[in-house]
Amino acid sequence: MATSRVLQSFFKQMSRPTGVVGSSTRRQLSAAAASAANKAHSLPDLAYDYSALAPVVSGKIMELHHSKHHQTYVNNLNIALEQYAEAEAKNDVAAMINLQPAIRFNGGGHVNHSIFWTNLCPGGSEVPSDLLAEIDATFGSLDKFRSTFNARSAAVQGSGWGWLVLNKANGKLQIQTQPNQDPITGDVVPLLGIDVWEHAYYLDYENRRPDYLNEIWKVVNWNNVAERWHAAKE
Amino acid sequence: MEMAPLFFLLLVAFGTAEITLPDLPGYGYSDLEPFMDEATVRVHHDGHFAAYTNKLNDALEEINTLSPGTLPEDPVDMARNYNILVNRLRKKVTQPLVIKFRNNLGGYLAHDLFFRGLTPAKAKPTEYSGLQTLGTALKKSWGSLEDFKEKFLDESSKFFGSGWVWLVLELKSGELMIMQTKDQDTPYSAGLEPIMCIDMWEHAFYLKHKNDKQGWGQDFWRLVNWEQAELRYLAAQEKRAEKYPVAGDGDL
Repeated sequence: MATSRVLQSFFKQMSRPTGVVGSSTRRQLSAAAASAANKAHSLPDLAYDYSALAPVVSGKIMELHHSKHHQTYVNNLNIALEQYAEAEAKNDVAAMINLQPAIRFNGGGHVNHSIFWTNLCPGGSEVPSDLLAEIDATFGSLDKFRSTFNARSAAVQGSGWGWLVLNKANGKLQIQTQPNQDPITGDVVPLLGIDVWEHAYYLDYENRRPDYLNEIWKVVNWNNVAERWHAAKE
Repeated sequence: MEMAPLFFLLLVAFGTAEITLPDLPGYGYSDLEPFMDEATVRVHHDGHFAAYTNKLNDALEEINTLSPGTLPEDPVDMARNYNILVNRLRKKVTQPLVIKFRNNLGGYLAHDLFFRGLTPAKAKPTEYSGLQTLGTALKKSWGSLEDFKEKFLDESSKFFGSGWVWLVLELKSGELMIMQTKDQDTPYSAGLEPIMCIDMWEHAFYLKHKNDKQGWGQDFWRLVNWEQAELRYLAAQEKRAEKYPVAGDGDL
């Protein structure tokens, strides 16, 4: 999607040591400015009912999480991108920079949650054998993977996400955590994300984040994770 | 062998006694209803605040063993001097332990201020009862108490991620400011003295308010203990006078 490529180039731009914007990035931004008004982001539907993941995640949480939190990220992303396009059309670089935090929070929130909903399904799924073999080779066993993932995700200070990613540079599976709504970027592909913002579990688990992390595996859609892994390896 | 002197020696060598979790100050778990629900008060105090206190004690025990005598006794002083202290600890203490110290020191101090800064709505004769010197200063900085409230709650309503919104006194300038910190960071280390604060971590409001940060701010405002804020302001002014005495003060 043109707009998500634009998001990726924003983040690459933010990590460049100099302030130089490459010409291909500039072309992408101009194209985005022109089309942003027409290409508003929208909230993706869930493939299952709000109550379908209970009791692991209650219908109450799913409804709030999807229809309020994610919807708000989508709405605010659209507003920020529209404002960005206007600023860019006027060559108002200061205004563009001023909008970057809002694009980061809300764009990241939209990207992350869109992946998350597909990573879950009622009753979860078995791990496809090729992915399981890779997990065993990388982490020792599925149990060791989960306990490392859970320990790192439980330790996220404040708000953030735990991720299983494919590092394209070395072809290996890795565990990564991100703060707030910072998306996975760079030569790394997100495969499975677990939201550890308090809103993701508080109504069911209160402050017991480790309990939430133990339970969530019961609804992880490993088929989806494997699909993402296959696509990333291409 | 005499145990008392041995104990004293150990105390001196390994630092102070444990920090205890403060009780709710002068109100019970259900006394903040309906603005803060009892369930939230319980888990916030007995769950989150208690965990920060316990982990702070763990971190302090480790640090005081690895680097005896470096840390002051008072957690507020630890926070005020955080940057200097961490520099001194750098060679003796691992980075994960520094992080544990930072997060749990902040969590302990912020929550202590937060709970001390609340009072049952029914205990307040008027919305701003208790404000005197601070009230005058707030009106001077923001025009009116309503304008100050609007500015403060605007900051909290727009808050992203986890953290706190504070009213602080900048020691050097004597200026009152509204500011944000992220996660469990407190303003002390930046030469800013906290007057009052609102916890914007979702755990502070989610059970009752869900994603409604504005509603949480409005309800929080009903519980603010302005007598406490006034006391903190006066103490901050004293701290300022201590740290930045006015040149040519005739009383000296």
